Amino acid sequence: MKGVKEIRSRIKAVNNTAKITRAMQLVASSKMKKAQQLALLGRPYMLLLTEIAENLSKLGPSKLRHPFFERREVKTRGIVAIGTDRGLCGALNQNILKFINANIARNENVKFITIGKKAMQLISLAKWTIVANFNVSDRTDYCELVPIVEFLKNAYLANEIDSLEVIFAQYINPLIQEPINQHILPMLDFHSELERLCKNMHINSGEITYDQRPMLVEPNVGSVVAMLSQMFLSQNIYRVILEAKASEHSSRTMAMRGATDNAETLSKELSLEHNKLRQAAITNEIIEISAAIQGL
Amino acid sequence: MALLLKIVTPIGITLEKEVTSVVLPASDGEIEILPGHLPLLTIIQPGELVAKGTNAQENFAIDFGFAMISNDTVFVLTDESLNIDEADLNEIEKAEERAQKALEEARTKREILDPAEIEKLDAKVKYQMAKKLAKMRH
Repeated sequence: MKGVKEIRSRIKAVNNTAKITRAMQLVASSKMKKAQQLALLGRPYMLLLTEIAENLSKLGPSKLRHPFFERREVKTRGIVAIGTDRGLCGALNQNILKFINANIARNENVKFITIGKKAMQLISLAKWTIVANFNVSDRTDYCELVPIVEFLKNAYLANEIDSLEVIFAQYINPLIQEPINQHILPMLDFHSELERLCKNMHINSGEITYDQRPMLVEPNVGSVVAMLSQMFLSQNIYRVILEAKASEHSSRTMAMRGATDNAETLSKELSLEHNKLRQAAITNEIIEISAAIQGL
Repeated sequence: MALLLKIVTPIGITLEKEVTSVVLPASDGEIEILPGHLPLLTIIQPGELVAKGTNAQENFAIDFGFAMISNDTVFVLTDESLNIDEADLNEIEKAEERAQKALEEARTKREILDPAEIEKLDAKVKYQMAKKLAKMRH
């Protein structure tokens, strides 16, 4: 049986842990709100960008000539896996790894680009090929993505990778984050991409009207396509990272809430035990005193 | 007949308004869009966008991006937009100085920073200048 003193110090320690986990929960939930808001606000931008691309592609297949928008034989898949930099966020990173192991055959030619320290550690431990690792801070500044986008663009244009997919935890609701594989390059069908975006934003894709007259393009199609492809890639990467961040923070909020609850239960149990022990000691003392009185 | 002007940036739809004409800083110079314009897709330069209503006009400073005109709707897709009438010249000057300084620093340390980053900073400076010029004109 433990002594009263030990239990008392244990209670103190457990209460301190609860305080820390509660603070972490609050921080994560405020960060989650920010990331979610950014992701939501950016949606009309992405929609318009896709609409522009869709309009361009309607001019004829010969117009949209860019490696990003052309079919090619996939020899090496390029997969960006987005994890977190820090732990204590539930099973998020493990779920990503599980998803990779379940969905990608070992004999396939795959190059991984990881974002986040934990993703790199787990995926390299599982013996997948990693060609690069990047870190993105919780502020998720647009300029932090420049090196990532440049790297991906160069790798794709140099035929080092023939497709670009992103595996990340999609934010469904505060309790559920599900790993998905989103295809980014080559982008062949803007129409279905547009429909997917509309569905996410809860708009009817039929509401988007098109001008039937042929579209003029200034200064020329080539420079528009060049600029569009660059914006398309960076916007897509930005969006998935924001979504992954929202998932990370909500997963961490839930994990920390669980930890706080556990610590509180433990603290209650310990106080009960502490009170019992104290009561037992008092009873003992009273017995001793009354015994002594009787002996007089 | 009127035009619908929609300015979309990464932080949402910043403007959605009925106007009678729009002046855009297109890649080959300023163009004015009137109702009934042919469908057009153009690259836009950092500069001034003028939205003319029936009896008033609003001025915006906009960054690089695209403008798409279809079905009497002018979509402007840009990284940043700012209503000049609401902007404070001092603030803009400070922002311009900051952008210029960042660009200078980037240029001197060229080997560390990649060209894409410098390009981005360069665009920032141009955007700030456009804002200032537009503001001073009014």
